[in-house]
Amino acid sequence: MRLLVVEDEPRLAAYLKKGLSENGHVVDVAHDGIDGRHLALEGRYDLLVLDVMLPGVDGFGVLQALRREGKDTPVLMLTARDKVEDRVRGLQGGADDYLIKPFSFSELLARVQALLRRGTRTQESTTLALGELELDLLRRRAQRAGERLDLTAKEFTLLTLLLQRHGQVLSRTLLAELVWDMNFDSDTNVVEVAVRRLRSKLDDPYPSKLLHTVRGMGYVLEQRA
Amino acid sequence: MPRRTLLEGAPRVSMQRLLDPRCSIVARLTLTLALIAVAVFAATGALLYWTLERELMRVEFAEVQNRIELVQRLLQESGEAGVDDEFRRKLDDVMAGHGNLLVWIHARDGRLLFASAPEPVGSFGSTGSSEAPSMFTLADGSTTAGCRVTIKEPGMAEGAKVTVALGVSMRGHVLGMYRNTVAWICAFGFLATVVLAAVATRRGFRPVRRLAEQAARITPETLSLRLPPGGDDHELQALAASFNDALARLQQSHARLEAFNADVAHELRTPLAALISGIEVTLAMERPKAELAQLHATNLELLRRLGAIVGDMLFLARADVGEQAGDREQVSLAAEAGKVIEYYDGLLAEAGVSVALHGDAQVRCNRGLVRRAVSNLLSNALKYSSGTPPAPITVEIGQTEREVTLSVRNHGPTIARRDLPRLFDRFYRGEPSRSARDASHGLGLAIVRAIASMHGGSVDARSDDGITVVGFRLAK
Repeated sequence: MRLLVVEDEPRLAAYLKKGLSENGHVVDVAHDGIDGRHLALEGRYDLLVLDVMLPGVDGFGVLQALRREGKDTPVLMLTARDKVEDRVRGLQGGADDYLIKPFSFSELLARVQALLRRGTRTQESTTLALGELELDLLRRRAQRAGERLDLTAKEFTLLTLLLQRHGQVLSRTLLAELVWDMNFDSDTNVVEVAVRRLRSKLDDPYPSKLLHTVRGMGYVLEQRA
Repeated sequence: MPRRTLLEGAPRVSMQRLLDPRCSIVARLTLTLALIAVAVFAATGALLYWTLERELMRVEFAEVQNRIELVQRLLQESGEAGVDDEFRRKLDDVMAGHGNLLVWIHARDGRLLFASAPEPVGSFGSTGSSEAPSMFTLADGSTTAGCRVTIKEPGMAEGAKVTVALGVSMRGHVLGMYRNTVAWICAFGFLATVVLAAVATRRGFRPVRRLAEQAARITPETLSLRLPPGGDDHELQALAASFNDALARLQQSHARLEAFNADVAHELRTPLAALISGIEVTLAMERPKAELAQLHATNLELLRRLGAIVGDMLFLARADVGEQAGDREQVSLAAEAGKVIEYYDGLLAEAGVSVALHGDAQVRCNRGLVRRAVSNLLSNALKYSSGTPPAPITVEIGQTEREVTLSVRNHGPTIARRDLPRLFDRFYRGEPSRSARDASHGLGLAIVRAIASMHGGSVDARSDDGITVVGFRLAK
């Protein structure tokens, strides 16, 4: 996928480019609002990562120009100000999602993937599988190596999310938001404990582990050799 | 760098601004007093002038009436035929000292017998009597007042007409003089009032200037200074008192801010120290790749912590400047608390604590913020629950006519009464036993308070006999 990152802080822009490229995207970078607007209007991108505070034209201005031209490229806004008005202004201006600085890269990646998926919605299958793990989404049943896993409703949702995005590191913040609908960073280790409890049912009885902790970043479900 | 005083000192005032009534109370007062002086002087002058004019007219007509009688008598004595030099001499005697009176005598047939001036032009009021004066026009065109009587008594002069009028009026002269004098007095009075009013108001405002000078001495370093009570002027006493009150509040919040800044710096310094030393030690030697990855992971965790502190502080700062919660919707507190308890399920199970939820209330609020507040209360209660296994935590929801309340009760060490209000202060961790250093950074309850105030509510806490209850109330 072709992405455009409009971010004036050169180091952050470079890291975003590196990270997104390593995740299989082609990334262009603009360092101010004017270049950003030009590229966004002239180029063909699948998604824009747009900082709000930019020299030249600010992010809202770029977004406005883009939408005025009738382009519906998904836009993920980055902002250092988590004022409600900013958020509302961004979303009303046609932004598809926003992230507040400082954000983690895994968080950004997760949102980017979600936005990209939204465009090309593949048909949702009702069963998911990874190795010997199988999930039946309709009947909400989980099996590993043919044995039924006794999961709570939230544990099932958590496992579904991890499985849908297997191989991708999901942060605690994202899990809290998507599984429990809690839009804040809790100062307790709620998510860790929930993952630990899931792991005790999912992995502990089996020799090969599926649910891994990536220190400092979050959790990932994948088969490791 | 020169210190900026709190009030930027007394502004330098240019002469032009000083004289501009829009910019100066002294100028405004002076102008007002001057206008009042003009009005009062003009009104007084006009009133005096009018009174004097009336009085003069009264006196003069008394004279006219008096003389007309004398002339009449003289004429009756001598008869129409007797108007000769002798009569004229007598008449002059009668008129002596009244040079401004004009006399005409007409015979019964209209013949002019005597005239002390050219005859009046036009008709004379036919009904003129000695009682009421009439106006008529003299030969030189000027208008004057006078009386005419016709002798009715039988005798030699029956039917003759005697006319007496005011000639070149003394009155006009006197009144003219008087008018000028009054005008001068008014002008002088006006000028004197302006000058005196300017001086007096400037003097009157001296205590205000003194107060301003004292206020200018107050800087962020000398916030403990107060204005003197303002002397005997009760107007200034009120001003000084409210200024001092404002200063006290300012000093308080300033002190709080300084303490907060120090806390923040300290809170940030700890993870920073870990970051710096960790990186330095690791870079000092050749390290295997795995160890470097380990370092990065540790650093990431520390940085996350820094990010969380900064985010929470920005949130608190927004509440401090009075930001209100947006995106409000009608929610059931029990439903929201239930969601949060569900979120804590695993944690509660591991700690072996159960949570009981009582009551419900509907309130318009920001769902996300309220969940966050409940989460912080629950996490606080869990952290300080004691006993093996800990006694259940209770979430109690209630409501009154005006507000809804949610409080979380746990069994744990009793908090001293004097420490209760500080429970909601930023970075407050209470007694050393409460300062267990874990993932929290001492902002949880401060955030609860901020969320309550963003909804026009408040927080409260009580602690007795090993039971602590912490909660918030929101306006309905």
